[in-house]
Amino acid sequence: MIPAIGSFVLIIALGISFVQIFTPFCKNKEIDAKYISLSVFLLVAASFGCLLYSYVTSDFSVMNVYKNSHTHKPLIYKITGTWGNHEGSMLLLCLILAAYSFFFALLNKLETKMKDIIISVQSAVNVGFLAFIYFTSNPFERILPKPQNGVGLNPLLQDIGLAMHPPVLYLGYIGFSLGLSYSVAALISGKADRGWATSLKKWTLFSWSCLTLGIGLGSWWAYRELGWGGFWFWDPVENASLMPWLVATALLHSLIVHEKRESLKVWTVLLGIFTFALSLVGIFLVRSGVLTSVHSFASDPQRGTYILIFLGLVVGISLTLFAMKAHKLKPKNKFAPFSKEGGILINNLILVVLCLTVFLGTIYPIIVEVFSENSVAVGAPYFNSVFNPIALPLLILAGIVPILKWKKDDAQKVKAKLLVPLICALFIFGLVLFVPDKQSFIAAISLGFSTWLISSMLYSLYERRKSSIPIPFWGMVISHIGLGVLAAGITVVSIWGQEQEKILHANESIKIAHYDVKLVDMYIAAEDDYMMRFGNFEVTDYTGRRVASLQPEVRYYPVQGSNTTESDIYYSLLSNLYIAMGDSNDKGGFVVRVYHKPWVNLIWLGCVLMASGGFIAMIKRKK
Amino acid sequence: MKAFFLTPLVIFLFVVFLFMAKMLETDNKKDSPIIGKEMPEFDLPAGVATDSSFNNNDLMGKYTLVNVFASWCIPCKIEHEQLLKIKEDGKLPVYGINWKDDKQIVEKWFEQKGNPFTKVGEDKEGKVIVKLGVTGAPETFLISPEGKILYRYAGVLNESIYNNEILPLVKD
Repeated sequence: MIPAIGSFVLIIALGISFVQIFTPFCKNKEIDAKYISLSVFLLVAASFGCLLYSYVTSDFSVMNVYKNSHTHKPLIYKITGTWGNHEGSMLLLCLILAAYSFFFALLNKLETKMKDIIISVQSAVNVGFLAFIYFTSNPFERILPKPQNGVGLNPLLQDIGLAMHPPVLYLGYIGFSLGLSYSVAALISGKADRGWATSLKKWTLFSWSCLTLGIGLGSWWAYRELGWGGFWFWDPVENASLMPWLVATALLHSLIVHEKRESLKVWTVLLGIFTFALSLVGIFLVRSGVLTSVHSFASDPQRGTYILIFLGLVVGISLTLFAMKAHKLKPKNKFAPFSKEGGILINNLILVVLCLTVFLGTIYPIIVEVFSENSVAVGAPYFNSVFNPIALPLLILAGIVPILKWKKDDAQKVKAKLLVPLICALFIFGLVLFVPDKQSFIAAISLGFSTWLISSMLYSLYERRKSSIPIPFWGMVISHIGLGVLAAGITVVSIWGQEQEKILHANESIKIAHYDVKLVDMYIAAEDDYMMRFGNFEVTDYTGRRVASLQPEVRYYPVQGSNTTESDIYYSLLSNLYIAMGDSNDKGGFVVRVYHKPWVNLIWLGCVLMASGGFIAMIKRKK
Repeated sequence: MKAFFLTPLVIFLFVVFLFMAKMLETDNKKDSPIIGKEMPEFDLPAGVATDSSFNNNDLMGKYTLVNVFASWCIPCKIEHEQLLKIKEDGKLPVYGINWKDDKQIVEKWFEQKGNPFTKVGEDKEGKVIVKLGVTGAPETFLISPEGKILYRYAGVLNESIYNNEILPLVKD
């Protein structure tokens, strides 16, 4: 009964959304758009509720529940299991999309014509996704006879970091649909004024912050759960989330120019379209199976074809409009190259080039396969050697541009302001270069750049200490410092991180960094839905003082017949000592991998700072 | 309209074309690269209700099905009935590769539900599984009398796949 209701309300939501594409243009509007949007939102929420109910009550007559759940699963993972699979996650995505459309209809203060177009485009996108769910991935499909029990959820996915990352990620991806809708509205109506930019900036700030958090959460999950001790793998699915993030970052900055100076209009509109286009490309890459990745997640050619057609229509139409109408959006003000606008434009170009390098690396295997008989894989070496050098100058820019004046600035005055950060940066550069046994030129450069950015931001706060600092400025400063912190974390952990792998028997130990890691003994135990083997490790530092005892596990899930590693981590303030257990050998020894990850926590801290800065910047300026 | 503003659309259409081309290709090549190749060399110790080791010689001179299964695999239990039907049908003998399993548990299972296999080999370390490129149990392979792999099916075998995809490949 409940699943039938879930399926039924879904199709009603689809119907209403379809009608709503056209209602904004009807002559007599008897019902306000926000009530229609609200009804769609409530219907999709009801449908999602039905699926959630089926999961919580373990109703295995629903195919989706049977495939992805099990009575032995803890309640929290039954709940999160609702979106831990293709169909459920698409339904969650629709729910978020409907929520965005509703809140847009409720909150925006745009002029009617603009608003009508945006609501119409949002409804069209809504129809696309709802039809996709209903016709290719209906989560309420039934099976007969009803199975006794489910076949579980991929045990790798039983993790709270992972459970939280799709909702947060989708809040990012899907929020960008408004970027596309706003851009289409600007193109059709032939104008994009300050109000347009201010309004879109809020939505973009929110979505961008969520996406930042989502990517951070995903990376944190991979770090703890996959047992490889890495935080970023340049996996196609990770790239799929990084690309919209890079373009959204560019969009955010060009929106600031647009809002303040009414310049860069055409560019902003194009970025608005591409941010959502790349989100859709991400969805396509993950779900069509054209690329293989660790996120082997419901790849199905039929679904791929559908998303591709949808992507082609939505983005194709938007870009055709762009080709026809973009010349009508004329900039109001001109600016000198040495100005805040100029700086932001360079930042934009770098971000877009970064996105292109990721894009090329991600689709290059496809290009090769389509045009030749060969197949290639593009891995981390390409990305690290191409991406990183282009990304570094961003740190310099992020430290300078915020203190530049609009329109035109005077180089002499700027030099004076940059003296303090320059001294800090040179100091750190020299310090790193001459650290005994640990010299690294790359680290010195990169940490110098991070110091430059962070100190320049702090100094700009100090300079403004006498006047009241507007809240969005705080947001900007926090986000930029977050970027510096992130860069410092990545640098230190990549260059000075250590790892060792050894077969250990009881009472043997591994020396790493300034720690000594000893395997004391091993146990075997069983839980509800898995069996585990865990080792008891004792960690002592160079003085011989015991600092931690760690219990990494290997879990065996008999229902799926699969193993997962649960690493255990010793957290000191910034650094981690990370132990993962592997297979046993014949002689009672265990493969043990130990990683020392200096400053790795700065990576997550950086993400959190960047996202918080974004949220803070949304707070209204005092009048 | 300025030609310059067309650039994004052109680039986008090229990317869509690429994806499309790749999708079409993926459709044709859905099957594993192992199809058409010789069955890899193997020699597995005897499993449930089998008295000699299971190796390439067992598969020679007739069409056979090789099924990868395990008692810890729930879909395998669903598939079991279909395998029994195939045995009854008598057209194709089914050989089993028992993957990382406990012989006694399998024995009990077969006592209750019946044994569809002509012979079972035990693959405790998953050596043959790896050679065959198996991604998960159950998986079924059709082997020609010359020992070539003709067909591979990953997932629970059903009546229509047996009748419409496997049997047509078998030449009398």
